[in-house]
Amino acid sequence: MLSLITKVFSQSYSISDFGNVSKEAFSIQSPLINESTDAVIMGDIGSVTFKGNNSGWFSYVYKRYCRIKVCNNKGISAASFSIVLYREGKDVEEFDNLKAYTYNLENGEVKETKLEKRDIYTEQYDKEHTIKKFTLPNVKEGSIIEVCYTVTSDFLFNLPSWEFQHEKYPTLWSEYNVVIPSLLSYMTVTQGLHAFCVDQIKDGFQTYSVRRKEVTSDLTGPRDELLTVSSPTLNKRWAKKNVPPFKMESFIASPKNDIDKVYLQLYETYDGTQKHPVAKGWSNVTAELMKRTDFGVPILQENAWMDKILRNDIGVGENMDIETAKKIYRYVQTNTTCTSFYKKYITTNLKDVLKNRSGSVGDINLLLIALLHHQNFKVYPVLLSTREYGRNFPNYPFLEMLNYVICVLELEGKKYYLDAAAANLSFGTLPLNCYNGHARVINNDTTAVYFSTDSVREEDFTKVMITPNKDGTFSGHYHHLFSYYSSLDIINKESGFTNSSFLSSFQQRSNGGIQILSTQSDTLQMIGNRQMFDFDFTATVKEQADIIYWTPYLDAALFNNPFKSAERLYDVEMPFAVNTAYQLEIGIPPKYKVEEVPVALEMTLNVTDGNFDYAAYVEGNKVIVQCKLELRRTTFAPSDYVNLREFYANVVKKVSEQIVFKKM
Amino acid sequence: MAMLLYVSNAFAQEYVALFIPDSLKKNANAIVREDVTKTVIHSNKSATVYSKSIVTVLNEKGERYASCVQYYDKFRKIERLNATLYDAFGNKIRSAKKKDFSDESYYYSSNFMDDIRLKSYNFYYRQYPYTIEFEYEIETKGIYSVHPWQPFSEENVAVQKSTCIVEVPKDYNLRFKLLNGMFSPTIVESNDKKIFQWEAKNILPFKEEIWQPSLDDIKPSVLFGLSEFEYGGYAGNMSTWEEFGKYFNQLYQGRDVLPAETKAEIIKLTAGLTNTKDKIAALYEYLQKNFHYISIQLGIGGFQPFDATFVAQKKYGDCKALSNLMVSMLKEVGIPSYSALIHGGREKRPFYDDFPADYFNHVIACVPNNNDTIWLECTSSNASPGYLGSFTGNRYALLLTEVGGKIVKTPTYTAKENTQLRVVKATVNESGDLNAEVNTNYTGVLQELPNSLFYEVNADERKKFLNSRLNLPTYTVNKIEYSPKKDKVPEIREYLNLTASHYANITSKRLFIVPNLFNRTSALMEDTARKFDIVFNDSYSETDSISITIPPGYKVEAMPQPLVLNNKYGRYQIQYTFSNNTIQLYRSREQSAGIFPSGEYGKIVEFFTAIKNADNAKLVFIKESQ
Repeated sequence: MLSLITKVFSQSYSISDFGNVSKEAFSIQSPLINESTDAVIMGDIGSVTFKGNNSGWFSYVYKRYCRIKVCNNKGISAASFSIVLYREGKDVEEFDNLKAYTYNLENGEVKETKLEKRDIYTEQYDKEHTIKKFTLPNVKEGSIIEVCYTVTSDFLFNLPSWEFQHEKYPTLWSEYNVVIPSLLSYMTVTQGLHAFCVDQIKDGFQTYSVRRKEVTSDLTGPRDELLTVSSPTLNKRWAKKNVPPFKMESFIASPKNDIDKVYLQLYETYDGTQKHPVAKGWSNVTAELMKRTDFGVPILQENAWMDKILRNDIGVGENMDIETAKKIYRYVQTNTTCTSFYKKYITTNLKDVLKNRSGSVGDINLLLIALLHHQNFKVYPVLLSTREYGRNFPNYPFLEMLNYVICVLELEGKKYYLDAAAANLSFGTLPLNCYNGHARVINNDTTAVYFSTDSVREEDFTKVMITPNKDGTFSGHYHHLFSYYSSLDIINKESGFTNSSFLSSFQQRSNGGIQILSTQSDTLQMIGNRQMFDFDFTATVKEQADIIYWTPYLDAALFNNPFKSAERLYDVEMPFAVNTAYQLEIGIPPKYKVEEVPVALEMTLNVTDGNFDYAAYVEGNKVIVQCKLELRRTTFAPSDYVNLREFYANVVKKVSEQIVFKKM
Repeated sequence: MAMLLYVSNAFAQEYVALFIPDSLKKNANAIVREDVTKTVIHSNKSATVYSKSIVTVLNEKGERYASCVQYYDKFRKIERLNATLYDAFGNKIRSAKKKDFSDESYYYSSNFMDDIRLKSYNFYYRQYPYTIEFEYEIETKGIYSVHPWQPFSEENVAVQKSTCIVEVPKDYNLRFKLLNGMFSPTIVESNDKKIFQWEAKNILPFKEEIWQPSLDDIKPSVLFGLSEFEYGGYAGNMSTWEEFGKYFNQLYQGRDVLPAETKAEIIKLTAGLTNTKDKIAALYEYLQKNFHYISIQLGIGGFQPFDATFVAQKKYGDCKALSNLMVSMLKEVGIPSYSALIHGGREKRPFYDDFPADYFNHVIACVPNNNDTIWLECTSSNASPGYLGSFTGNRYALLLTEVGGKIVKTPTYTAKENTQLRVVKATVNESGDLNAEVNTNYTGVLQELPNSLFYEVNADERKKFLNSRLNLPTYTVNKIEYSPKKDKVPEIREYLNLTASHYANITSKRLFIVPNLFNRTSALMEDTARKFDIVFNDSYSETDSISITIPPGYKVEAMPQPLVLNNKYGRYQIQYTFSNNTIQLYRSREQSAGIFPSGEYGKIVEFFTAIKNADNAKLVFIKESQ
């Protein structure tokens, strides 16, 4: 009896539990399980061990055991699995030893249904990926399922990362075990809000059988050689219990940075006599990158074929001025399409990039660098991780954490950061998702540079002029100068915002009784790299009204607080700082007087993080409203969230106030 | 030599982008220079489809017409793929053959597993204008359909020339239907074959308009129907619905056998029930509680259901497998019912009951029940028995009866069935914060959204959705409750308790408030050049009754006039009163499906603008003491 109670309350899960589902397991309870719980991860155990392979080195064997309870119909999708396997040339990840069962409690008895082999499907997704798919039989509300399988892989650089937290379901027990021979050293990174209940390191010892081809000097050819390697091991174990599902919030740079997780990166190998650093510090990594045939070599080699491209196709002389650089940048940008933003290396060769007019970000920006280099400009690649890809670490040169490459051009004492893979970008600007902290310049100094969202200031300006007509109506003009990145968004929409769709969407969300005149054209125009939106409108107020009310802000989109949720768990990470100005001038209708204008307001957020200045006053026969919203900081801790939300609530409140005219 | 040169020059005409007439280029992002599709039906067992299209891309927005994609599966083999790129002058730049195309599984597929694969290629040229020629040849194993010919293409695309050729053995009965003013083909007969040919030239691009009719109802096109065919190893004839149904009967043959265990279970379930309706409800509930939807489409499995034994054991299946199981279970307890092929989707597709063909993408179950027909959507774990709603209501289905196929109409839902009745009780405090209790009763099609919010998403997603949907500034939903009621026209009651800070604007003298908290109509743009008829597809009626208590000490300064609109476009009524510090708002709106000529668009804009203005009207109060 006592042991039963302990079992229910400790709620841990171990591999020996696999296959032993008791009646009691069906009535599992936890403070994490409530009416909105669709399924519960009762236990999830992953392990990585190593074994010797046939090519003289190691493979890892990843094993996973999990037990999930389906709480309602929505949780049934937890019983379908898609396991992605990677291949690169002859190296193929193997999927084996799948065992999967569904348990149902029927008439007080636990009834087991097994997944049959023929119900496992294989999809050849593309050249590099195969997907194993299966869905468990006999699953319904209340079912418990158990699944275990192994994946064997030769891709040792990063071991499978382990998430202790599920995106939809609470996790009662999650555990990860690794047993690593001392021949391989991994760096471990852990992250997440919830504490470990187990975080252990122990020493062990293990014998591995490694097979390799022995090259012989006689005529018999290569022979198989079996090596027995005895090695101390590092045995690590982590576990968390009662982890709630990950809650996705707005303004999160990447959920990958926040979810409870551990991952391991190879940084050193040992062959018995000598250590071979894998991650050797930035200067070594840089030197090696520059020796790679899919990175540095094609930039630095002679590339005589580029003369023709530069002189004939781009049409630049031998000058090394900013105009020449711009022409080369524009040529690469407009003649290529980026098909993968997650491959920083050259996937074919630089000539083919131009021939195919497409390639990865590596293909395109390394082509740009090579062309600029060929023109004798001082240029270097800069490696970074984009926001959605997740953060990277300045102190550890793990290339797997960097997905993106851009170009830095040093000219006349200035630095220009260039990205030709992003369409329509202006020379010297970067896409917003490049502002993700640390980036590394790949040159002799291997300088760290930081792209901070605080440094991106989005300036947006609106001016509205309204004049009363004699017939009691109003005529107005609306002028909006969009910020740089909003402008880029407008241009990049593939189907394109046309004049008319822009007008009609404004008309739909407009505030008050304004009617946009439909006969206008050219309402959207580019001024430099900014979009300008201009249109005329009319407004009718009730005939002979004694009182006229005007809301100065005509765009009702401004009336929503971007911070909807009352609570916050993770940092608010906005993509840019904000500087928005709004001006309105409205003529006082004849025979009316100003009865009320909104009271001025000056408000700051945490003294210097932001400010909101609002003023409304009468000047001659006009009412003038001037308003400015500035947010200088882009990242806020959850403890600052209440202030930030309240600040915006007050902004929303203020901009919805009205001007009142009264008949004299 | 000179002769040859001349010929090749003439041939190259369609690759020279510079020669496109301006009349075609206006409003166009891409131009189909030439498009030929030739289908050769060799016999009821095989066909060859040959296609060549030459498209000039004029600008970035036309890029999507530049990708060369073709799919294949077990019954469809790609024999040849060729893509060629030409510059504006018609100079050949590059070409790609089958081996250069990428080969991937169909990544947009919504199936858990299928065997459809895509081969695709893109030149990414982007120097406008440029021209792409794409040729393919496909051999089919079996025949089932001939792709309809719709030369009148998509928005912002012009067509210079389009040709459709269908060749059949002389004695083969190829059926076709001409739609929306499509002309008749030229027919050439020889000893052993018949060739049908259509050709269209110089079709101008068009602009899509709000509430326009479905393109299928506007575009001149040809539908094809086969007679004798063989597909997946089964022979059939689709010249009549009856015969077409028999083809499916073969595929379903013998797949209704239930395991003994399931038989025993359903006999037990229905044992105490005497009423047929109760038995149907009990079995449907059993299906919903124990089975779930998983889509696996492999080979003929796209048409043929998993057998009932397999489904009974695995407890999952797709629409046809689950419907077939339902029919099998009903048969076991002596209730006749049928699988019914139908087109599922909110957007209704055209259907011609005088022209049998496969218009379908979904299967449901139909229980005739002596003229009190009960329809069952077998993929849903929460649908009401008998309710089809916007997904399969108001359209035709093909019943697979013992004697073959039979066409029947599914129920239609009008403004009487699709209702939304809302009662709001709210208070506004001294700082303008609003607290509201919102009780809404939805029926019919209008209950579908709250119903799926209740059954299909979890609490967090529900909150997130309501946050995005309610038109309030800073606010919090404190409580959400749903109580659904299953019926032929189902109902759901929704209770929300929410707080919206600063909802009312309070200045030193005045209080401003928009009492119509939800259901605000958006304005429309005027369009003097409206071309298409105006089509309202939805029928519904909504009633809002809102009371908002404001702090004491205010009197009305401005109150919107009541408005009553009642015309052929719809009905609308709104009125306000104020007493005992409480605003009372009554609003009703009724809309019925209908079609109006394009010339009335201005009046419709006027109608909606009047509603928008009334919906967004402000009430203004002034402090009494001043």
